[in-house]
Amino acid sequence: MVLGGKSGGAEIRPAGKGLFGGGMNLLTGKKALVTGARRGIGGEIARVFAENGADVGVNDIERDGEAEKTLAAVKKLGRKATWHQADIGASAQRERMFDEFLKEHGRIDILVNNAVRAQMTPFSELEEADWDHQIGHALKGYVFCAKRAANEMVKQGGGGRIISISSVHSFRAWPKDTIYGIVKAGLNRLVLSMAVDLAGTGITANCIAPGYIDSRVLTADQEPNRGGKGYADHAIPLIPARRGGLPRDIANMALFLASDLSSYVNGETILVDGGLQAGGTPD
Amino acid sequence: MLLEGKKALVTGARKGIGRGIAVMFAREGADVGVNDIVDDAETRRTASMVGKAGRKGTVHVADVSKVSEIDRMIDDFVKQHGRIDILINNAIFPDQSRPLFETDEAYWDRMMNLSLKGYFFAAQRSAREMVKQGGGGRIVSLASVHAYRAWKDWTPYGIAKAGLKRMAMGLAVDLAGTGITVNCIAPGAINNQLSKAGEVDPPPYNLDERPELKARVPSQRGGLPSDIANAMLFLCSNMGDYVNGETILVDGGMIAFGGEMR
Repeated sequence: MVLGGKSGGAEIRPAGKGLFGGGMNLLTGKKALVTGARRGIGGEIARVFAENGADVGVNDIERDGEAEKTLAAVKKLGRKATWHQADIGASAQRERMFDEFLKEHGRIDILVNNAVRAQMTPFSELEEADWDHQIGHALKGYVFCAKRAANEMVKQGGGGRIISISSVHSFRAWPKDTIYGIVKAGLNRLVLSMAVDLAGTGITANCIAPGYIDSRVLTADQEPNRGGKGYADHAIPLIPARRGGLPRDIANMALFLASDLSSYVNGETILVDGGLQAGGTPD
Repeated sequence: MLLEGKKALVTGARKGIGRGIAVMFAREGADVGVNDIVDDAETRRTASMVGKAGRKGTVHVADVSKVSEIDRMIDDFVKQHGRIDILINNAIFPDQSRPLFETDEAYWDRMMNLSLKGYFFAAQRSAREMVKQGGGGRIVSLASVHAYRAWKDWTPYGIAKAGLKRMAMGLAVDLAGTGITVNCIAPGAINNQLSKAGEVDPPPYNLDERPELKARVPSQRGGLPSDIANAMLFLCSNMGDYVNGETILVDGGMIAFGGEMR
């Protein structure tokens, strides 16, 4: 995975041939597993990876029409798409997902930890069961998916990329987001340890922290207005970009982090929030 | 190509990271203004590397610690290129580290005037042009791992770099709704020496000569100008459109690591 002859640095192409030029094939031949990729951010990451030449394993807890659309989109781009139904919070299902993915694709180069179902509960009403459920899925599930993927990557040799979707909730608190915020803050900390413990393997571990992202299911004629009026209107005055984020914004960052362009980015959490976190509380 | 037709001004582009950014931007379709304080064969070489990539490369000699020279530089750039889409604040002088008790007022002023005041006013002036032009823009400043942690004898540099992180946040908020994004890249140990003719990168640091890098950097190599230029390219393209007020570490995991352990 780490490119570039003598230096081990990013590839320098001859003049006139841009890094992104000629169809942006940044992930040619790579094998990527994306959890929670039925739709939304995960679905868009699957599409963008396929556009860039990767074969993609699509995981989610149910195979519905949206999942079919994502699988079809990857195939239409001429890449192999495989379906891996699993609840990443359940260890047997998680391990089976990896076994199947490896059987289908032969190896794993990229893991994107994305599957999540946020439950918002006021602090005073938190139940132990909520805690166990959310921590078990979105923190423990991510950790052990990352561990399995990293172990496979080390065995294969040649490095790899592990990307986890964090959130602006890892940095600041919004009402009722206690467990979600703790989970996401834990992911930011997870990648620090992964970077250190996987030192010298060529594997990088990073997080993307999205802000408001419009991942609603929309019809084709509504699609041009994604992120625009009618989505999080109350928040737009707080976002310097003055729009809601698109799944594509996150997928672009995932592409950067999955590609050889980012081989020296490691243990980092990158905000993709249109500047939301830069600002203070509203006047 | 990611920066087709864009007009980018890179300060301190005589060698190293600045040169890497200038040349890789040109390879992605941008015309590039090469700034440095000295006009010598290396400064000219960066501009000719831009030309060799098929793009217009102009040289703008200016001391970017002085607002009057910043204004003159940007006037000259806009005159030659018609507009400015991207500003990269990268210029720095060589003696970036100085022991506390040898840090006099003159050194402090020199550091702050270049790395904080100069970067601020270059950003302000460029943003003014970008707002006037319409269509947004990109301003990226070079911060550093020194903005996150303290190493011995690097206090003024670290303060300036930490200031740039905060500057990106402030300018993102102040420029809300203009389509301009303001961010920083925070490099780790990057070999910033001269590269061979035609090449963007000098050789990476030899880890046997720099054993501390092997011990402290999880990626276990020194960084190269192209590592920084790649991240710049992402931020300055449409792909980075929703990244704003952010500082991205490109340090091979150096800051993730707490320190040696037996």
